[in-house]
Amino acid sequence: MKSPHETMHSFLPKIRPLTQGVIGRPGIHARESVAYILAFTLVLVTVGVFLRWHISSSYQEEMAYWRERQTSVADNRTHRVLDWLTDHQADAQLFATHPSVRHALRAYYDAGQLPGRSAGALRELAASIDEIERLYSYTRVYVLDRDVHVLARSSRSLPLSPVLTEICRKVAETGSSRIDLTGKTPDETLISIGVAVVPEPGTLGASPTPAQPLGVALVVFDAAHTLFPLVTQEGVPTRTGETVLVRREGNDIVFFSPLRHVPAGSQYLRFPLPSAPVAARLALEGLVTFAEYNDYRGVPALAATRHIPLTGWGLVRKIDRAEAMEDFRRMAIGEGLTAGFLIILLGALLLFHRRDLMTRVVKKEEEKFRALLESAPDAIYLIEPSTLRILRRNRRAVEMDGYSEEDLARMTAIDLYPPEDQASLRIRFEWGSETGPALPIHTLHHRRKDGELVPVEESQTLVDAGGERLVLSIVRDITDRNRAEEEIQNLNERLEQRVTERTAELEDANKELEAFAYSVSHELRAPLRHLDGFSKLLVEGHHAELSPDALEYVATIRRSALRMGRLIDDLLNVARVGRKPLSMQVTGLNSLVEEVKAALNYENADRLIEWKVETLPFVECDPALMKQVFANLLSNAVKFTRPRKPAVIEVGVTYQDGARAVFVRDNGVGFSMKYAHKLFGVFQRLHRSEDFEGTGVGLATVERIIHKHRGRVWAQAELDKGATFYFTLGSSDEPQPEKRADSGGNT
Amino acid sequence: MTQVDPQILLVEDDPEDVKLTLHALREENLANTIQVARDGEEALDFLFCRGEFASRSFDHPPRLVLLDLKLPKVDGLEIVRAVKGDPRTQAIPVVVLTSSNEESDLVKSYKLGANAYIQKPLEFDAFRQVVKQLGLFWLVVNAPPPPSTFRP
Repeated sequence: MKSPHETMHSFLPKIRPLTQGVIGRPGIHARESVAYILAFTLVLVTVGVFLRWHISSSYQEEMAYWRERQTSVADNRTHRVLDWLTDHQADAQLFATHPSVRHALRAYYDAGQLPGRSAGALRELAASIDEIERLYSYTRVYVLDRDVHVLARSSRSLPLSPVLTEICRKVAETGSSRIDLTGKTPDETLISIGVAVVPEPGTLGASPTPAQPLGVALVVFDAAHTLFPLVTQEGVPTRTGETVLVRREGNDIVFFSPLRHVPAGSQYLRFPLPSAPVAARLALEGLVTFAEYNDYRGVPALAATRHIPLTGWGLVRKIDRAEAMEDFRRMAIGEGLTAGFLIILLGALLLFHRRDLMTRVVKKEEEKFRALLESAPDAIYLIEPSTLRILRRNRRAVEMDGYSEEDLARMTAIDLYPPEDQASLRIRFEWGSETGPALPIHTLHHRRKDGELVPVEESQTLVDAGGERLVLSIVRDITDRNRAEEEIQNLNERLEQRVTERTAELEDANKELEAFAYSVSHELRAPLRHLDGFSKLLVEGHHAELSPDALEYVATIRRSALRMGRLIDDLLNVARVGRKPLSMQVTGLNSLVEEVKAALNYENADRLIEWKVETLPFVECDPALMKQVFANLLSNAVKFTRPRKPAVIEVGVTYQDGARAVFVRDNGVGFSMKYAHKLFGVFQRLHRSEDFEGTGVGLATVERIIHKHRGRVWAQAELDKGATFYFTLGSSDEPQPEKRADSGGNT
Repeated sequence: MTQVDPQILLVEDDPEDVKLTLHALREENLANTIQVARDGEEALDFLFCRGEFASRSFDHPPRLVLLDLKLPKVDGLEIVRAVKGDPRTQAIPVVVLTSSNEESDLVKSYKLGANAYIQKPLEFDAFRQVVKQLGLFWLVVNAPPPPSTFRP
């Protein structure tokens, strides 16, 4: 034996494959997300492109600004240096043409290049040199003969260094002035300008060759106090902007002007040519450029390069890229940050808006769901499948079960049922994890809080509500329905009882009628038989004693008795037709007609009768009764055609209002349609009995039989022109006429 | 009255019918072998040799019973049932001769074992003819059941 649980298992299908949950519409989220991401991306790209364009153009502007500025400063410093050099070269030139210089040199050469013999002139020269040195702020002043022997020097001047001697030798050899530079540190850099002393124009003097100078005048400047300030002085103060001077010394490049990023007093910066800063190299090559180069510290800088004529020096005006681009960077960072901030703000706005929208959508869905839930005519419970706690229920549920929220918190769904049902119901609430179609509807009872049992019909489904599995229990209170059904049941029962009563009454009536007919058939015929019998015996036994009149009276008595007998027979027949149930079978009407026809021909052998019998259908009918129909109709036809020679009797089929009707037509005496309504009444006759015998029951019998077959019978006639009787037979004998179908097809 | 065992038992309550029937039989000289029973009880007494007819013997049954159906006391069909249900009498030919031609009467009669069913014709000539033929057939033409038929 199976336990009840196993049996229930086999009845309850465990959950079957997935159906889409009713709660939530996933489509809307994906669609809106894409829209938001697109909008955000568009803004992001636009801002990015704009920012890039703006920063790039700002950079170009900044670079243009710095090119302009560095170039102009470089030009300015180059001019200053050049002006200074030119001025001081001119001054030196002037000094070389000073009368005391020329005079002293001429005197020197005149004295045979012996300083002692021209001491006077040289003393005079020395005195004017000091004067000139003071006047022109020279550091040192020398006058040399053409063989570079120092003839005179200012009182502050040191003996001539080999380097300076070499400069003077070149001036003496070439006759052109020369500017050169000596020193090891910027602070002690000396700038020397050597100028050839030439004789006064128009005087050859002691000069052996006119091209050869008389001597050399050499003035020396302290660069740190003269030239360098012109270069290093900064107009607009910057932190890293500076102008530096460089020159070649053999294979080295030397930075000889004071450097901002090198401590004062340090030696010159000196780089071998290949590794020297590019800007310095370019400046020394005479190129006028502006670009970003690494400076002597290796720090990127924006630098303009210039070449200084007369000297072969290079000038580099530079500023650290970091400082130059500081504003730009700050601006770029500012703009970037601003843009980023705006984008983040926009993103946040979009997110917020989206969330707001989603919240509204969810709220709307929730409201729809709630409306659906609350307006449902059935009680609906949402149950957690694992604990069977009731998470939610609708208003109808509250009305139905009567529990409060506090009650609900202490209950499970099982507690909604009466205790005796709970054990068997547990199996219904064992849920798997797959959602599926609803369990089949189950009829049982809920127990209200007040203990009253409510008949219900319910069904549970495991649904997927946004990823959460919930049991949806729909419960219908069928109290009213049960009551209505009960009422219907009661009504039906009462109706049935009434029908039974009526049937019994009818059966009683029918039985009475039958008994009546039975009695009639037994009792009424006997007296008639006696009338005939004894009349006959009277005539036979007492013929001689009776007068002709008496004999005639007795004959009349006998006729009346026989007539009464026929009336009774016919009446009984009509009654019997009404009582008897039909025994239907498919019957060929022709065979019935033939039987009746044969009998009539036999009875009326003396008559000339022309029969026209068409092919009649096979129909479902009671053949015995149908034979009575033909017997009545055909015998009537024969009877009422008695005056005709020949009598013509037709039997055929015709269609009346789409129904097939059998007809019997004769060429007899007919009748007036005025009386047609009396035709089928019992004992109704349209002819006098001395003309045509009959009881007036035959057509009444025909009508009864046809009505029993759910058919119709009627007649068409005209006085003296014959009559036609038609009848139809219910619906069971109705193949559609072929003629109709044919004509329909042709038109 | 009972010296000669009657050959026909006519069971008929209507005296006029009895008269007419006897009249017809008399014409065929069959009337003196007729026993008339005027109700069902009397008929049964005669057939089962009891009461008034206790002296009768089952060994001499009537050759024919002409039986009306509507009878006082015991109905004609009951008589058919009794006769055809008893081995001592079941071989006795029973012809129902009655006014009615109700189908139910015909069916019941034959089912109970009646040997023939005749509706009394209304016309006396026809009635006379029928009675004459019955007498001739059953008493003359038809071979009666031998006596051993009536022993159980």
